[in-house]
Amino acid sequence: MFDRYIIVENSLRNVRQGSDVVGFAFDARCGYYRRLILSMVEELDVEVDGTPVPRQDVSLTVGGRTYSLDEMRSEYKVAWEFGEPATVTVAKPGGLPAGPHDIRLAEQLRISYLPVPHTPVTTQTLTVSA
Amino acid sequence: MTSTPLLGTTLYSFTNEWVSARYTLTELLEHVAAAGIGPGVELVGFQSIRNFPRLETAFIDEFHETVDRLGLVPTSLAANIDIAIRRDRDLTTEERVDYTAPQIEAARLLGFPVVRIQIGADPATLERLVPYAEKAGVRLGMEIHAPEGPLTPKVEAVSRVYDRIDSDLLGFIPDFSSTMHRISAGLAQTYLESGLPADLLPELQRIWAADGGQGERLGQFIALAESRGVPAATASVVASAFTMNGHERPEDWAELMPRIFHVHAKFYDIDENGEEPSIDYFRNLGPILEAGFAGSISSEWEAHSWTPNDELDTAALIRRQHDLMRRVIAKVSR
Repeated sequence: MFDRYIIVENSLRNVRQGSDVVGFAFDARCGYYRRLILSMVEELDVEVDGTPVPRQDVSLTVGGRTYSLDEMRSEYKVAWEFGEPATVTVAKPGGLPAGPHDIRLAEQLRISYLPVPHTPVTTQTLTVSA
Repeated sequence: MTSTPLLGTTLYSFTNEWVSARYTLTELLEHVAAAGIGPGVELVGFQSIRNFPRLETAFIDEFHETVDRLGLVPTSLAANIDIAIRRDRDLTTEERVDYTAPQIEAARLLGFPVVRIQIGADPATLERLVPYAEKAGVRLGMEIHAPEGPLTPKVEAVSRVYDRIDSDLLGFIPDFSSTMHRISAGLAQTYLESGLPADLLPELQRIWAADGGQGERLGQFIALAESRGVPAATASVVASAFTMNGHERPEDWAELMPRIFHVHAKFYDIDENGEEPSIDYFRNLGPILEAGFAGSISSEWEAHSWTPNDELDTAALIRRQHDLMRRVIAKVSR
């Protein structure tokens, strides 16, 4: 529905832990017209430059708390508020090289009154600064 | 003929403005008032209110202060029952009631006289919600949206439940997406952008307008597309035409009177003649008015799904749609 807006522009960056780059992150919006409880997020499929990211390397940070995709499935209280970006982090030692990258995000959202998951998807070229 | 419906707007029409955080709720209400597309105002709780249905006192006070200051009139609070919160099972009746009752209470606290509920509210849940509605002094309006229509079996089943429960707090909210005469041109354009060959659009329109269930007609179209060498995956992009745009008979809305107390005046575009090219407002709104409808009407613009943010002119479009509705009202009043 709002596929175009699910990846926040200019939000790609590498993630450091101490002196190590342990992955990369970008910000994403809930791709439905309203907020959803995290348990309704079935999958967040991420591809970088055409290569799918393993599911277990993806996490979402909402309101300061970070969830793996499996942990989200049993979170029945916390919501991904509409219009409030959350952070998608991908664990990847060394992160991404500086420069442009094609980031593809597909959000599989389980909506009670739709027969199959609502799946907004977009690909955007985002740049990691040096 | 004394029907004088209250025109207004649902803030859902401003979904793109929300997604890009262009306005706070108070600023958006100010925008609606300044644009003259009230006085009625509807909102989706889970869209417009953070942490809904939990409301902080300061939020409640600011909402009341804002609508009073602007001369706006809260009409309908759109609730949702997410029965599929869990992967392993649907919510029980008890859980559905627990999920919805606070939304009904939120309507009372904010001064909304109607709570929009959806067809997912099954009979057992509906029956259990009536005492909450009575206590809160609000009415529960079940939205009828495509692919359902005024007289489709699911809606007739709800009517029978209403007959049995026999409470004047229970009613319907027609959404004109159910009763269109063609697929919205903007929606069709998105299919071309997704790779559907343009010569299939007239075929899509023809199959869409024919008889048969939505799944059946979609299947017919995909089979036709495949016979012309278009992969099913490409052709199935049109599924939303069958779920978002219905072609039930508009005049049948009047059959639901006097149980209609609010209307979602769905629209996508207003042409140079002031008409909605895919929804006949005279056939949709006219018969309801003639049957005595004097409730509230929310303009619900849904082309935001495919309209780029920098081309948004939501309030101006809604003003033109209000003009169209005023023409229908004037014609019926004559």
